[in-house]
Parts: sequence; C-alpha cells; structure tokens
Amino acid sequence: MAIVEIAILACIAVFVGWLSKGRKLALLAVSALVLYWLQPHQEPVNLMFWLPTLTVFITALSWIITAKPDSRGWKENRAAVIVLLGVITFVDLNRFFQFDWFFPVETPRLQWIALVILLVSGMAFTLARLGKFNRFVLMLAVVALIGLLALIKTPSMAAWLFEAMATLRGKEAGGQSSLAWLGFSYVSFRLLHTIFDRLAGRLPSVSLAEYVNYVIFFPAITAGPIDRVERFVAGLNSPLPLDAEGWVDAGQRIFTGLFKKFVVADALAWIALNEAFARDAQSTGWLWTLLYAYSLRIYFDFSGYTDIAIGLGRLLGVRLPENFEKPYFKSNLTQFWNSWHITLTQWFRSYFFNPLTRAMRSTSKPVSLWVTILVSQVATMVLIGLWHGVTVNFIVWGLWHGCGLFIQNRWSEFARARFSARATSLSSQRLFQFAGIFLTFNFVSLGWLFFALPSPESAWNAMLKLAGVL
Amino acid sequence: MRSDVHPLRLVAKALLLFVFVNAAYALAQPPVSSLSLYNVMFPGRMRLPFDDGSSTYTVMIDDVSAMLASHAVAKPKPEDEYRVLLIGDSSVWGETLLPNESISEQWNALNNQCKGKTIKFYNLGYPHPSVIKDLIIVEESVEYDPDLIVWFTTLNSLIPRRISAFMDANREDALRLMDTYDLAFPERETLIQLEPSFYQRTIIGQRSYLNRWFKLQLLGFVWSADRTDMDMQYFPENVEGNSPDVEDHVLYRQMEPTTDLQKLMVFEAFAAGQEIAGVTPILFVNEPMFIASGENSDLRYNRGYPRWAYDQYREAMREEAIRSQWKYLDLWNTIPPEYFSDTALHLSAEGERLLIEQVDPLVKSMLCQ
Repeated sequence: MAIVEIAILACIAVFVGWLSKGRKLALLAVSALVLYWLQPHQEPVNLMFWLPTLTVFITALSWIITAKPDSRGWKENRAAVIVLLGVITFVDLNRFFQFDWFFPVETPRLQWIALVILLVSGMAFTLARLGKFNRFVLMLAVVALIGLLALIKTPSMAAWLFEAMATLRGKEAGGQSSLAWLGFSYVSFRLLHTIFDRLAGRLPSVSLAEYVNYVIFFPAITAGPIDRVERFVAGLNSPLPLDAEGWVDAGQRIFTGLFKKFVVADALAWIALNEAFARDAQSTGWLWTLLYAYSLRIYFDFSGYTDIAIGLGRLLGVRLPENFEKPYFKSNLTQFWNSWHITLTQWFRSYFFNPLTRAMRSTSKPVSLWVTILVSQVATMVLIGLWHGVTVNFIVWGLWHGCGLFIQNRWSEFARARFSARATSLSSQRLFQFAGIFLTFNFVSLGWLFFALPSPESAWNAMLKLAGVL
Repeated sequence: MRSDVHPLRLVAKALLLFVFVNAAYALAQPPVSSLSLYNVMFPGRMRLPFDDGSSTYTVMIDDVSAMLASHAVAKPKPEDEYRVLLIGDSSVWGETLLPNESISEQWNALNNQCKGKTIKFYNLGYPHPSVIKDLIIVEESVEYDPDLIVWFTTLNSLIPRRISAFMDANREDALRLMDTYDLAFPERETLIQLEPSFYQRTIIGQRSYLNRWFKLQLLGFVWSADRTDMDMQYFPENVEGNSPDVEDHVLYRQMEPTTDLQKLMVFEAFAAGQEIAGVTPILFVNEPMFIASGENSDLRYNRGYPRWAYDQYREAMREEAIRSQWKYLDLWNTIPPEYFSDTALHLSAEGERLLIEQVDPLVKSMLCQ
C-alpha cells in the first residue's frame, strides 16, 4: 500500500468508526471494495475482478459450512448478502463509469456476473438448507483451501495456471510465475482457523457479516495480523470509542507505522542484501552490514505495516492483536519466535505444533521427548516456510529455524543444569543475556539469506563469503 | 496522563512546527550537499555518482558539491602524491566499464612515480557532454589541490545546447560562470527563469533531492562492501558495438555543412578553466573516436559526427590551442575501431589502456620536469 492509499483508508476508517448504525454493514462494504481496489493487476490475464470475487465467495461458503444452523437464518443475514452482492455488482458497473483510479481494467459483462452470482447463491442457499455439516465436508474444505494455497504459492504451478488462463483468453502468459492474490495467505489461514475450531466444537456463533468482516477486515488484509474470530467479533460488537485517547492511540500507531515502513524500511531497502550485492561483495565485514540491513529492513517493513493495520483498526474501534514484540532483542530463538509474526506462530502452535506433539506423546508407545521436539519443531518451521512460498529456499529456511530451535532447546536443558548456578551476579546475567541476543540476531539474520537470495546455492555462497572462506 | 492530550491541539502544534521547520530551512539553506559520510566512514568513490539505469548501486544526484564530497578526491591530499584530475564526459566516467576498468583506475594500477611521489589519477568525468558542465567541475575541484588537470574534449561538449539535470542542479554556478567568462549558451534565458521558488527551497520542495542525497550516503555501505557503482548485469551483454556503416545524411544537430561551427564553439570555457586553475597546468586532449569504414563513411566518421563538422572542430581546436598556447593532444584517430564499445566515444577496457599509453608520457613530462 502506498501512503495515499493508507491516508484514504484512514479517512474511511474514521467515517465507518463514527457510524452508530449500520457500522458492521458499512465495514463489510468497505472491506469488500478494498479487496477490489488493492488487488494487483497482472497482464495479460484480467484477474482484478475475479480474484476478489472468489475471495468473497469462498469466505461466504466457508461461513455456511462452519456456522451453526441457528445463525444461518435468512432474516439475520440478508442485509450482509445484499451488501456483498451489491459490492460485486457495483464494481462490475465500473465498466460503464470507468473510474480508472479505482479499477483500471475492464470488468466482465453483467450477464456473466449475474450467472455466477446465481450459481453461487444457489449453491450457498442449498448448502445453508442442509443443516449441520459433518467432518467430511469440513475436512474437504480444509484440503481444498490448503490445495488452493499450495497452488498459488508454488511458482511452477502458479505459472502453469497463469499460462492456462492466458491461453484460454488467447494470449501469451508473458513469463508470469506467481499469482498475486491480494491477502489470500491471510484469508485462507483465517478460514482454516474457523474450520478447525468448528471441528473442535469451539467456534462461536457468528453472523455472515461478522464472519466476512473478520476474514477480509481491510486494515489487516495485506499483512495481517491473523486475529482469532471470537476475539475479533467481540471487539467488533463492542467497539472502543474514538475519544481523545483513541485518536492519540490510532495516530501514534499509524504514524509510527508510516515512519517504519516509508522512511526506515524503504531507506534500508537501498542497502539491504540482494543477489547483486552478495555476488559482487569483496569485503566480509561490510557484507555483514548489508545482511543486517536486510534483517532490519524486513522487520521495519513488516512491523510498520502491522502498526498501520492496528492504527486503522483502532480508528474503527477494533483492537487488533500485536504481531511483533522487539524480536531482535530476544536472547534465544524460542523467544524470538514468540515475538516475531506472533499471530502466525500462534496459529501454527494451535493447529499443528500442539496437536502433533500431543499425538506423538500420547500413543501407546510414546516417541522419546527429544525426537518429539525435533520432529515437531522442524515440521512446524518447514510449514511456516512453505506458507511464504513453496520453494526450496523456504524449505531450507524452515529447516534452519527448526534445527535451530531444537538445538537451542537441548542446549537450554544442558546449560540450565550446569551454568545457572554460576550466573548469579547481575553482570554475568547481563553478559549471558547480551551473548544470547547477539547469537540469536545473527542466527536469524543468516536465515534471512534464504529469503533475500534467489537460490540455496547463492545463499550458501553468501554464507561462505560471510565466513571469510570465499 | 493520556486523557490530557487534545488531538486537535496536537495536530495544530505539529502543523506549526512543520511550517516553521520548512520555512527556516528555506531561508537558511543549510549546506547539506557538502556533508558526506564518504572519506570519513566509507572510502571515497572512484567515480562521480551517476545512475546507469539500474539504481542498484548508485543514484543520480547532479549537485556538484554532493558529488565531489562523495568522491575520493575530497580526501586530504597526502604529501607523497601528485594529484591529476581527469575531466570529461561519459567516455572518461567509463560507461559500460566497472570502476577498476575506467581510465583513472587503470592509470593508477601502473603505479606511476615521479620525484618520489605517486601520481594519482582522479576520475571526475560525468556523462553529459558540455564544456560548461566540465568548467563547473573544474572550478569546484581545484579546491582539492590538483597538480595537473587532463581535460578530455570533443565536438559535442564544445557546443553545449540544452539544460541538463546537472545544469539545473548547479544553476547558480552555471550562470555565474557564464556571466563572468562570457560563455555563450543558447538556453541561458531559460536557465535564468528556472530560479527555485520559496516552496522549492523548503524541505518539502527539496524532498526529492534530499532523498537522493540520503540514498547516496547510505549507498556508502554498498560501496564499501562491493567497490562497484554500476550493475554489470546490464552490461556487457547489452553492449551493441559500433557498426561500420553509418547513415547517409550529413546533418550535424540539424545543421547543414555550410554552417560555421566555430562561432558556436565555447572556447572561452577552456580559457576560463585555465584562469580558474591558476598555476595548475591543464592538458587538453581531443578524445579518440570510432571511425567507420563501411557504407557512407565518406560522409560521416560515425553516427555522431559528419566529416565536415568534425573536421571544422579539429581545425578550430588546433588553431585555438596554438593561439592560446595550450598543451593539446589530438588523439582523434589513434584507437582502432575494435576498441570501442557501445558508442563512437566509449572505449572498452583495453581501449582505455591504449589511450593511457598515449597520454601517459606527456602527463609524466608535465609533472616531473
């Protein structure tokens, strides 16, 4: 998002937050419109209309299969249905208005939209009448969502998909290898969270408006955080007042975020390690500074966007969860992962790490503790890596952190027994603390090589250069 | 405590502060350009910052003070150094060449000694052909105590014609030099009218320049790590050599062969350079160029120059050098065609070496005698 877009969204947030009646529906309309507005356009396939529409439909279907039958009544939800269909139709009408600043590409013909809306609505209506959905349907939805996520996150498959779509339109794909689907990584994880909680019987009763607002909440659509539905809906239904304190809170977060993103991160981007810098490097010491610049850049960029999201949420009266808590000042890797992209880590902990650990430990022949820790940590981190993209680099990055967490876990056990008694003085504790922060920051920074550079080979070469070997 | 904060008052105070800081900046015009982390925290650059199009390694800054402050020449001169400044345009800067392939670094690699001192060459070429641009750089760089200036010239630079970004960024210097030394420049009136408004002198008005200045300072980290100022990914694959065939017309900048170019040549800039340099000698070098041998080569030497125009230039330059008693070296046809890269004036790394071989004896004789 650019500064102008953020400013416009902030004004909209103030307006929507100020509404005393129809706030939820207004927010729903704005969030849906923002999906279309911010969706990137990729030549030669026109997906600017269809991908946001698909997001809305998938979200609505997901609500139908997860919502309790008593919350799926037409009367309670018809306003939300009308708003969502209205937004889709409104965007499509742009083919007549041609507001290029809002939607620069041609939208499909109205009869196509009518047909699709009819089909999806019919399907939704039929599903809604079916009553409670069994495990099989929910698991099918999980598989479908993960499959879709894997499809767009795997460069070769995304390229194939893009080419297929381009061919259907009688055009050349033009070498596109990724499908830019606005916010789908976050949308899919929010949807999966509700399905898993539905399977566990924990999902609260939410209306369509609440559910869709939760999934496509516009401040958090591009970079999270991934809230929990019950927490979000509670905040949505009891909004914080936008009083003097609220203004200051929101203003501070938004301006802090803007400064982090557009001043610090964008400046660091000039010197952050990239393929060319790593290839041409002649000085080991200075190469480390470029790597540190990358580490800081990725932090300020991401946490800056999170601050903006939290600030915009506050203008709407919704307090979003924190996603970062001084991660580079943590003295071990476990603490780092408890303070970096917190909501994503919590998601994986809830829906993968904990169930896996429990399963391994609660069988009739429990797996040994260290094997359990190794397998669950490595598997979790590899999955987190894959969430960023299905590439060898992200797998290696996941392995790097998974092994790092395992080694740190074992070392902590070992060291606690031997050194804790010695580190009694304040100075020695500070020394250990500082050494821990230094080691953790450098370990994490080396891991970023797999993010910054295009292949494991180039990352390995850069590591050798950093070690002074190459 | 929080509830004591009044958001509207806060915004009003912030706006007032914003206006005050901007107005103060516009009135004071602090000398940001001359501040630099280069030569203090980072080693000085081997060439003036110039954006080759990739923006990865460098930034277009244009302000001569900021450019020179980032250059190694801004470092205090050691006792055991003879300092030679190389002035010129893109061929001196070394487009398509890495810093260590450029003329200055190849020359430095020879480790020339003279009277117990090392002869150190500094590349102050900048890719825009204009003798007025060269003069601005000469004037600014004589502060760095040169022992010799080698000024590479060609016909295009001697007939400056448009207001480049460089000229705009150094507008006051350019106008002052034009007035002082009576330098002819067809766009002089337009340049006068480009005087920045009050708004353009504020921080907001100068945000683009300040952003680029800041980027230049930060790029010191990259310069220190990589010692390169251009992304060779763009070169040399994209370098298209000179064709032996040239166009079949004889126009030079839309001018017919009947035009008397001598009237348009700004020789006064060389004389001004001599005056500004004072006791520091200047060696003028007519740059070597690619000479086509194929179709229409009887009409033109290359894509840039028709024969009639270039011949006029050479003759005028020779006469002026004799009349003004300049040290002058005409190397126009001394480099074989295969040593040129993408244009008629850009040399390959090997071509630069050949050029050095031809200028080196005269440089040594001027410094060592």
